[in-house]
Amino acid sequence: MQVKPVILSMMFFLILPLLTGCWSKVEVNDVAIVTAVGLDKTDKGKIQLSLELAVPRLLGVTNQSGGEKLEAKAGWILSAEGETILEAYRYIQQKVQRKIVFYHSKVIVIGEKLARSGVLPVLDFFERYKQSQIKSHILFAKGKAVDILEYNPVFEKLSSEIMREEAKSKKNVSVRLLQFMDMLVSPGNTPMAARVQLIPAQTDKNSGESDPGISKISSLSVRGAAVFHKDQLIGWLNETETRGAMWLKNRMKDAVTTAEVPVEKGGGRISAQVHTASTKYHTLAGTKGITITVDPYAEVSIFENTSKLDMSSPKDLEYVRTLVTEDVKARIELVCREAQLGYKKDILGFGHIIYRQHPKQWNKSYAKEWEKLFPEVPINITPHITITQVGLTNKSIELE
Amino acid sequence: MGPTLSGNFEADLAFFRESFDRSSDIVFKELLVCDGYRGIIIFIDGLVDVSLVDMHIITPLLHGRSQLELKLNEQVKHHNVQAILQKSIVSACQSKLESEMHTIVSAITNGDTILILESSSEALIFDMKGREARAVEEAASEPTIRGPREGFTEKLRTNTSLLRTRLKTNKLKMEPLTIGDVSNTDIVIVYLDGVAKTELIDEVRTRLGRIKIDAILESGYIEELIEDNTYSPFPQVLSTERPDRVAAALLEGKVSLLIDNTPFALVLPITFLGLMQSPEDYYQRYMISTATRWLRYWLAFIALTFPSLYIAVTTFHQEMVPTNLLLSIASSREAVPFPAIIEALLMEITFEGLREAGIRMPRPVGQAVSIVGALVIGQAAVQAGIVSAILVIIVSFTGIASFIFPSYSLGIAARLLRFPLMFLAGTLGLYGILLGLLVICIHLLRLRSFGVPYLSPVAPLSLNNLKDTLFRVPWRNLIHRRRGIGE
Repeated sequence: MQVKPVILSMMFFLILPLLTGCWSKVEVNDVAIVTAVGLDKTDKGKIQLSLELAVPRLLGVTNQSGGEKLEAKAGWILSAEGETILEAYRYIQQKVQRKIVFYHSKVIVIGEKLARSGVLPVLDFFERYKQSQIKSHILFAKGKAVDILEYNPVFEKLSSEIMREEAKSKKNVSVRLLQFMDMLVSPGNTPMAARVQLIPAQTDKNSGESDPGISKISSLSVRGAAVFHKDQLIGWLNETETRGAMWLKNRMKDAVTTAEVPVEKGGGRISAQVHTASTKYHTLAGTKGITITVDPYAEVSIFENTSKLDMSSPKDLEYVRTLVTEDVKARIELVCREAQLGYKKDILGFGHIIYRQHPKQWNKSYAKEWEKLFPEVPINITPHITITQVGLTNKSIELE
Repeated sequence: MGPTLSGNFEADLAFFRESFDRSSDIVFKELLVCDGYRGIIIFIDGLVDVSLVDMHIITPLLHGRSQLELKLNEQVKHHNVQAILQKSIVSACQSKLESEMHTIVSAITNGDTILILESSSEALIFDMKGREARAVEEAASEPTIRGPREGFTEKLRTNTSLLRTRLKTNKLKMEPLTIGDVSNTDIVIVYLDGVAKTELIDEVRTRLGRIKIDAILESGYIEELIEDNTYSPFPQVLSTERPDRVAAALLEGKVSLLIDNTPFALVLPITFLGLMQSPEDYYQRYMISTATRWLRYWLAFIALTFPSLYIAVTTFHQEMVPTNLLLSIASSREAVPFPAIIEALLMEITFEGLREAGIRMPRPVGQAVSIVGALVIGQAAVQAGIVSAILVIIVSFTGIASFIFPSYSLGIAARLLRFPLMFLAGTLGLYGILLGLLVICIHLLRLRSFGVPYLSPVAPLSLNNLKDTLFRVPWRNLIHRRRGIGE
């Protein structure tokens, strides 16, 4: 009687392939893999969806002939307009023979125009569609998103690759879609996301952030931050301001601060690397109003010392510590001033901290008039810096 | 009870001549013992060492005449010539008296030498076997770096001696047995008295006793006839060429079967994890052995599932692969005209074919096969765009992994099961692979080898025995393992 199950299972295995017909089977060379999504708003108010599709033929081993041309790019940019993302996506699908799949899209770039008119309507698609990755990096382009996608990278073969690498590095306020939406909906909070832009590769004449002109050889860079009021983009923070914001957002991971030593102390500069940093908040919300105290804690090590200060002397070291503390304080103050005096809006999410520390008062009194209150709220910044290492030498070399 | 020797020399001789007619290798050598006693020596040429027969039977009978006459005078009347010959004249160490025709005939076919004297109703049987045999060589199918180089041979007696030299104790029992109506193959049940459980030995005896077959040409016959579940790709009896492996198994309370004419001994019962161990695990340092075991388990999994995982992931679950890896898979698959399942099957079948051809090929041609194989698989197929470069890597890695099984028969099982898994992967994706693995798991759990659960000591769990399966703890901590299997 032992034969029966064996025969049954053999039949099962034999018939199985015939029964299914592999209906959900998709071969890798039948799909077009989206690596980045760009979203813009057209002049007519429609959504312009741009997709960067990876072209496997131009990637990997089979393509050995390339090399001479810097423009060798393995991505193909397709765009279409539509009332909704899905509609635009359908138009694009009509242009491509292969099935467009989103599950490897790790970057969402949103153009400035769309962002200024509010991002909420376009987020739903990425939240709802099963192929989209909720952990995609969300970036905001100064200009049009499609221009960013069309950038021809030098090292990588896909522009999405650069954006992903840059967004993953700890140097900027990279935000994933999930975090972005979380910031958007939590009380008192406002989202902040990294800015992506094209900058000239060489720092020749009038270099700087604000140069909007895209030179022939430019570099794609994720730097600075986009700041929001509700879901609308209201402005940009430059790099220095972003640093300060990162201290406040408790996202400071890898940073260098440079403190200038006054001339009476011998002049020179001291650069310190931040190893670990965390920021704590103490808020008072009473009848007299709100006070916010920011306590950034950081451990730094001295990396470069061009001053005459001796790192082996406790007195000098303590002096350096105060210098670094001042520097950190200045950085944070800068961005707070920008928010309170420049934008006059809580772009940094202080409201959320108050909500978390005093939820009842927030709901009762502050939530509604926070916009009016915020510019007046006193913000004290008291950095706590510890110098843990001074490098391999104490005093810099000097000439007799 | 068959007919016995009649005592009538002529009639008896005629009987034997008739029994062995049309046999060119039978030798009837007539002699005159003591001028008057006719005698005949019967043996099969080739099975008997003729020089021994010459020196120890014929020479004493012909030249020890004076001594013989002396004794004969006293005792001939008592019809005891045979006994005198046996005790005083012939200098063979193994001899016995036998009168039954049937036994004598089978003794002849077995390679013994027979001496029959006139007017005697008993024949003398001498053991002077001298078959041509292969020397003791290294076990070809289970090589080790460190460890004894001796392997079993086709000669049963040599094999028993190889075991005796390893376990020099009277507790080592070797029960003889003959199976096969035509082949009359000698089989020896080997075990350590007091270590192996008596129920196990009884079970082995009964199962062997149940065998009804005309011939046993290899231990594979016995293996299939005594195993618990014939409808399983997994071996439930270990077959090995290594005497040290058998000795180790005997020490664990297992039973071994040595079969004449094959260098493969059987060891039972056996567990899955026992089959995954190599004798060398115990000769190398324990850390290295433990690491090697883990490597073996890991590669065994690879050998079973790697091609099917590739199929499943590339046809159903592209989202699971890291983007860059997917893109490079996609770029190498770009020119391939087949779906992944066909592509993988093509390569796997080619590989299995090459392997089988490599075994069956006459040695001198083997070289050509491997060159063609390397070219076909390695280069031409990829360049022609029939298969992708990634798949070649997968197939060759799977190939390497499938050589890692210390037991060849277990390796074949993994090779075989790979194919249904590939079909499942091609139709149902990872879900199918999981279903397939579940079926295999359930089957393994149901499997028993002589009453011992196949997956022990993992299921049922025995933490103490895990010391010697997932790990190989140092010998100091392993001494108590001797309590035996299946506890």
